[in-house]
Amino acid sequence: MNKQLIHNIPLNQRDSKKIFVFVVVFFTLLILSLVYLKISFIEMLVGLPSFVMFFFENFFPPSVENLQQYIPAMVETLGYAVISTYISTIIAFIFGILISENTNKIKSLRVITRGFVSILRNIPFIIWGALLVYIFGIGGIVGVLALILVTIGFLSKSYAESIDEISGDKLEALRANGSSYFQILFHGVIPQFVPSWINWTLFAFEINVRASAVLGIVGAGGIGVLIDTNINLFKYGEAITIIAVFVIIILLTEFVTNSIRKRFV
Amino acid sequence: MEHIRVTSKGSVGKSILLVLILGAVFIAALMLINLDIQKFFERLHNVPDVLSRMMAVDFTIVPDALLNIVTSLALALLTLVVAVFIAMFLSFLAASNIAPNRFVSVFIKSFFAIVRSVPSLVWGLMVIASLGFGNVSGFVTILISAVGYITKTFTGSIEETGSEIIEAMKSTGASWFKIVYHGLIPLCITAFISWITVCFESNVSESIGLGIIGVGGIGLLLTQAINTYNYAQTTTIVIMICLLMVVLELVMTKIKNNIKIGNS
Repeated sequence: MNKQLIHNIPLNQRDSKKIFVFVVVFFTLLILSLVYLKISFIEMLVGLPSFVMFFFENFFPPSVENLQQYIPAMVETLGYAVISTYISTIIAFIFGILISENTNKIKSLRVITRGFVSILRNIPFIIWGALLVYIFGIGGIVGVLALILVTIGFLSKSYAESIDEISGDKLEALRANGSSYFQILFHGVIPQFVPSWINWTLFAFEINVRASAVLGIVGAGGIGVLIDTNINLFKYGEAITIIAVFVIIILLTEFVTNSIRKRFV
Repeated sequence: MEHIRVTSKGSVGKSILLVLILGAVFIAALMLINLDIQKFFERLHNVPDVLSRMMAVDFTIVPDALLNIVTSLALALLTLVVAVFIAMFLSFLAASNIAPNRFVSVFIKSFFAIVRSVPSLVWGLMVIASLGFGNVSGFVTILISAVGYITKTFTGSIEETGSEIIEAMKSTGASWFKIVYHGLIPLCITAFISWITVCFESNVSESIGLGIIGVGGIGLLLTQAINTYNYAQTTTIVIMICLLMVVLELVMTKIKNNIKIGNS
């Protein structure tokens, strides 16, 4: 009797009918997608373990003989990330100012920039890479270009959001003082924006390091070319070495960016 | 009239130094890598030709592309669900405030830090090498990166709740499962759902990207169009991908906002 009472206290007061409908729709979608993709449950269950088995059988032991040959490609990959982060930061800052309501009062310009940036952001970067290689031909500069485009898309939106967060009161106070647009920009907006600017830029740099490694797969230079060719030639041991070095680079980058963040933000 | 400095002298010196350092890094990066800009500019005169040929739309590809978009979406959804189940379990083992075992928690965290630092397309290359082309490879690849992402973000959200609620529940004699099920999940569900929507977006974009290296979906169609130099089809598919992602972003933002309003 006592137990019954305890169980009767509802722990969540949500609309159970709504949740039921949601769950049913969700599971039908799920089963439909399973059927559509022609994946059987067995394949699903076996897929990951069999990959792990294959991974440990073939990719190990890593062969470290050619480690020195990878260094130029590593440096190249990091270089792409640095250059594209720099250029896109500058362009994205201008776009961010154009998108934010705090700094740009012309609505049509805001909408146009926002639309343009959302096109840049929404096409996955590997598609940008493939497209640009298609247009400009193979080469490192195409990779940098692809990275720049995607990073502009990502950073402009983040910058604009950070500028939007700056309270309008302070800018209004500056305006009431009779300061010009650029005075408001340099003394009102930018000083408050710097911490989030550093934060977002470092984040973009991390993404760019990762992305620049992948761009090699579509022929845009960097370490990805080496990973791709080694796997295609069944030299799994060498591929895993490159990947391991790359993982170390990324972890180091994260460590460095985090310590910069702690100092400045 | 006395001139009032808006910025102090020290900060001017600091920012000049900072600009110099940043400039030096940029120039060093430019020097270190070989960009062959000359070759790039030589090739530029081909570009208007290619672009003008790309200014065409081929509607015959649209039905095919739509079917492939459904493939990409289905792949993303399926992986998302499986990944959420796995990651939900792992993240409660990994969050330091509820983790039953410290070593397990540290192990899970560092393991997924490594998993996450390998880009999904590189995982894709490895998975395709082992399982061959096809949807199963796509499923496994996206699953790996999605579990990595969701585990990290979920763990962060759980850790943000602090230890007070857990302690309070423990003092009433609740078991680990009860703390998780009745204490932490209702508390974190809003954050979880917003992470899930972010993850779904990135899953879709990954499944599109995986098409480039041979898993099915809209990306594969795009690669085929590019490889056969079919300019009109390429443009059409890129426009469709862009539309898909924009619509997805709008829907996901709407879901996120709805949940935030519904819960507060």
